[in-house]
Amino acid sequence: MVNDRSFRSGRNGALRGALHAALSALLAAAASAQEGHTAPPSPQTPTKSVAAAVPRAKALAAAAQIDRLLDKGLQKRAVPPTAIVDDATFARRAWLQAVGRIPTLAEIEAFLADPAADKRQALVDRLLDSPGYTSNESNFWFDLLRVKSRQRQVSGEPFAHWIRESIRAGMPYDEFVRAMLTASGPANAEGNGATGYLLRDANMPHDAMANTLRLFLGTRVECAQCHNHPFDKWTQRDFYAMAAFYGGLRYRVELDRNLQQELRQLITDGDERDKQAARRAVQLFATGIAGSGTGMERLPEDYKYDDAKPREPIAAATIYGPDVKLPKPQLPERGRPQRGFRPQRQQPPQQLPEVDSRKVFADWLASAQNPRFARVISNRLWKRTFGRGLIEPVDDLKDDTQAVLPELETYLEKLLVELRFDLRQFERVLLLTKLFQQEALPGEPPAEGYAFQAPLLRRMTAEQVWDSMLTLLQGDVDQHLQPTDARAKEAYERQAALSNGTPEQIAELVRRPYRPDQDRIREQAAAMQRAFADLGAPEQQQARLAQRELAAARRKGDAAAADRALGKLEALGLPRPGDRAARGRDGERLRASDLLQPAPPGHPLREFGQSDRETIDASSLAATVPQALTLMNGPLASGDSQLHRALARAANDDERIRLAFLTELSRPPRPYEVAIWRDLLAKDQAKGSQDLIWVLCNCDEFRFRR
Amino acid sequence: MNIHDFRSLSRSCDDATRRQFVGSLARGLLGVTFGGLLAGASTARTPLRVLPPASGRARQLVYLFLRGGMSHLDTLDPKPGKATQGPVAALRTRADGVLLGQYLPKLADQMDKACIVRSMTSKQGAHPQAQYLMRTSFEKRGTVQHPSLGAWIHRCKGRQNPTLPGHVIVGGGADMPSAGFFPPQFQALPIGDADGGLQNAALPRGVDEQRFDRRLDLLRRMNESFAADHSQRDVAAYGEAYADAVRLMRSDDLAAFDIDRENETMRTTYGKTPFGAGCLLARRLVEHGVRCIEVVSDGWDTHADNFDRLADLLPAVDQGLAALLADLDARGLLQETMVVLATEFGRTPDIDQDQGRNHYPKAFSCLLAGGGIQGGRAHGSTDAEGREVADAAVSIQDFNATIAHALGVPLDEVVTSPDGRPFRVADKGEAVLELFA
Repeated sequence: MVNDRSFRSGRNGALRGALHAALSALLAAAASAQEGHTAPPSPQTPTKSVAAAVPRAKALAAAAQIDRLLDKGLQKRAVPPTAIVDDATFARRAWLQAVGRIPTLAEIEAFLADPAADKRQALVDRLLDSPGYTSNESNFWFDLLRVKSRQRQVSGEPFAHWIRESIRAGMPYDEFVRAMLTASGPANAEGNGATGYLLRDANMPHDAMANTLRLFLGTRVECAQCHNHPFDKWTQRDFYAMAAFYGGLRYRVELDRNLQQELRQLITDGDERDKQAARRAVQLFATGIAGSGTGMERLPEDYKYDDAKPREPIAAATIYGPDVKLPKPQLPERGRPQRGFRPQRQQPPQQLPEVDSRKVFADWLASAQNPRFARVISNRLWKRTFGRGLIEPVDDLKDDTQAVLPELETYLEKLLVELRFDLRQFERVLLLTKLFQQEALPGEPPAEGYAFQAPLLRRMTAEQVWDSMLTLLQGDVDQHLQPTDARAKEAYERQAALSNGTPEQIAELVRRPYRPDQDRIREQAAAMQRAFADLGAPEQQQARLAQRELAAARRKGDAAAADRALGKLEALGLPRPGDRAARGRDGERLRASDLLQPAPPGHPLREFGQSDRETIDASSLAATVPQALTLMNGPLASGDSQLHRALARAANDDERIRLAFLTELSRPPRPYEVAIWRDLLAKDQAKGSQDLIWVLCNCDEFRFRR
Repeated sequence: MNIHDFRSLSRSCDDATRRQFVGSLARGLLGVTFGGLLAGASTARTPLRVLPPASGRARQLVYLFLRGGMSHLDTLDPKPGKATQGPVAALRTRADGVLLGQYLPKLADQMDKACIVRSMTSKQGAHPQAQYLMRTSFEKRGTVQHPSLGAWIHRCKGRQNPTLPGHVIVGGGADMPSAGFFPPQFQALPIGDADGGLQNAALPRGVDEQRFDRRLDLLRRMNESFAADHSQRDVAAYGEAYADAVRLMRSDDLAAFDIDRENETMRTTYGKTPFGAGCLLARRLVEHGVRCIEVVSDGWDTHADNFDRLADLLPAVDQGLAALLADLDARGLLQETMVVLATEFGRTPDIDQDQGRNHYPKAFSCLLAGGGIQGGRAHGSTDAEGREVADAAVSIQDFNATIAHALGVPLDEVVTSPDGRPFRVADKGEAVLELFA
């Protein structure tokens, strides 16, 4: 990795830089030389190689079938497919699709120079086996599952950890979904990350059911919570019958006996602060999922239809698909609704026997037999790869919904089931199709009935923009991918300490306010002080100067100056100051999937449309003014990135131009482009180089995925 | 060309007149032609129905949106003495006979300026659909993106300050309905957090205006060759965003986005919370001529611990809204600035076993102030326990029609989307004229 440090005056900078340059050259050579899984070990490298489970020939055969079915559809419509793209275009597209960022200079050069006939196919397999795949795929699921690091009652980091790890381990999709629907236990205990799914809608089991049906079965039933669905066939009663599968779901778990005693002690004997602390501890560490499901739910008080009475208990029943069997629980008396204000000591809800209805529901939903399960996910992945689903919208299927190419759609479903719901294998097949190698559609696609004579042009997602910007600023960002549990460790450690501690330790932990970010900030401050003390006097002076510059730049909102000051601090070997890290303005330079979820408001990720994770499908690709401002005047506009340095070092102007185009647009410059920039660089090399870098990262070609 | 000419010319939403006017204004101020900017959705006039003329009394809009469905009984429509009231007490306010929930004391002091609409009613009880309905007046569909009310106002009235955006949204997510099917220049400018303001609006060090212009020219040429192969709307939208961004960078009013320029007292009066900062930013933007400003607050979906959570959430709203009303009034801006406090539905009168209230669209409350609204009263009412609307029901479309009417957007004007479908600003909503003084 070529980074800032290698050209600073720092003590080890030059050596580190040289080492990194050598390493990346080595890697690039290794990568281009062989087909197999040789990525350097990274905590996010997938554990299995794609070629091991499914030989490439088989994947190619499936891709060929897809192409055949597409051809059929196009011939019927007398529309020709677009031409095959060149290597440079393919490479950029493949990197963005498979690992969510543009290729580094070394990577693109190696690929373009590779003479192998099957290099495109080999690239696909290599990328899917690389740690960047885990990062990229995590973003997809974080968005869909609305992963939030900070929620009111629980940290979302265990859930994020579980998702990353499941992707890395290649957990099949049906298992993935079943795990989320049936998870139980305390949220912060290691291994229980899947509880994060239902906890996302804590205390709102009806919303949880509606979201589940939408996400995994493409079936919108939210409206039926309140009345018979106006446009679809679901009645309110149907909705409650589904909701009954989550009957009796609880969001609190039994605490450890040990811990319970200790907390009870604090509540009875402690002072007001202790009482508060103990209650907070209960909230944080008893939060989880409990209840295997009673299979019963009461209709609401104001139920107004003739087919049942208000507050009548309804047994769980599926709205379509194969029938499910639940043991018959005893039906309780029609209870009185709860009116008015309840005193502090609450009455527990009526205890119905638990009949494992959640498992029955999960088995019904996450199965090849469910008519919508494979259909919806295969369509989502098709859309993700080619820009539009075979069915649109992807999550609002009706009984009469027809794909634009029905035969293809059926094939995709069958394929996914054959691949045993291995999403990465399915994505691999899509990336091996001819369609994936074709020129993007030049004009506006039709509103309906698009038969995929070309992939659609789309802007990069927010995460791809950020990860690509980082690639320009820092080189290979995959080198910096964190262990999948890096952010969740804190929660696990605290949970373990509370479970296993002595009474004194527990009391101490409970009293200390739980502010995970504050702990991290304190640690960072301490680390900063230690590093500072290690410096010699002249360096300490430089550091103080840089810190003053940083403070001034932040006050003025001058991102470029802040960046420069931080660069200086980094060059001196000082760790990044942490207090604004959470705000992300000059914060951690990690890939999107390793950051706080979602990024804080104002962060470039949010500016570029990252979802705020409040609702499903809340991300956006629309152009906004703040995006333009960030690209025009933000970190890349200043003169301090590894890219700027590389250009400064280059042998001549033509080389500079070539480097800039390859690094930023993943292609060599065209002759007329060389001519234009040659003139400008001849006039003023330094300014010309900066302008070149600026133009290429601001242009449409950078942000749109050709 | 004075400000009154501006106003009367912009009251007409006729494309040709407006284009001409804005074009000449632009040429005067910036030496720029606005040629293509006002192209887009066509306008058809349906002549016949006689409606009251749009009042046009309000020139600007500040729309405060509480996402999640704010409980009405604990805030704007308390029912003291009833079981459904729960533990929240009621406060007297400066408006005779109008009570507020106990967590809104500062707003109680400003009630002379505001009108609470207690008879809001809707059938939409799911968040995404209800929020969409509230902001666009239409049901969410897979096949068309409706423009938000702010975008309609922006489109009809144009920008008041040509160098600043016409529509700003503070907070909220990336997918808040904005321009919809309107051309991309009506996309709102999102500000992630009010304290951060507008980032990266200054040229980087070492780049002067001349060099910046050269960069822009090189960029234009680069983009031209890309556009030759790819003529999609999404690509063109970036051209708009960049043009807008450059205009903004060169604006004399950039400081409008910087709330750090306000003194400590002002910051404390509004409250140093995201919502308070948002309201303060809104006031600054109003002063500098931004047409529509929205501030979005999250966390109102109180299915559990409703009372504890409202006790946490409401002070920021109370303080921010009250400060905003008082401040706008003191600066003489309240008459011509409509202030709205809205939410997508209310919450159940019955309290559940988690001390929560659940979604309740049947009856809920919103608040209007300024822009010609008669303050110091409540419009409409719910029954004794807050379950049903008892009087003067106001649908979401009616509510939006009222705002549009105040801002001078004709309710009968039909705009056609690019695929040929007709839409009006508040669909079939009718303005509640009794709300105006």
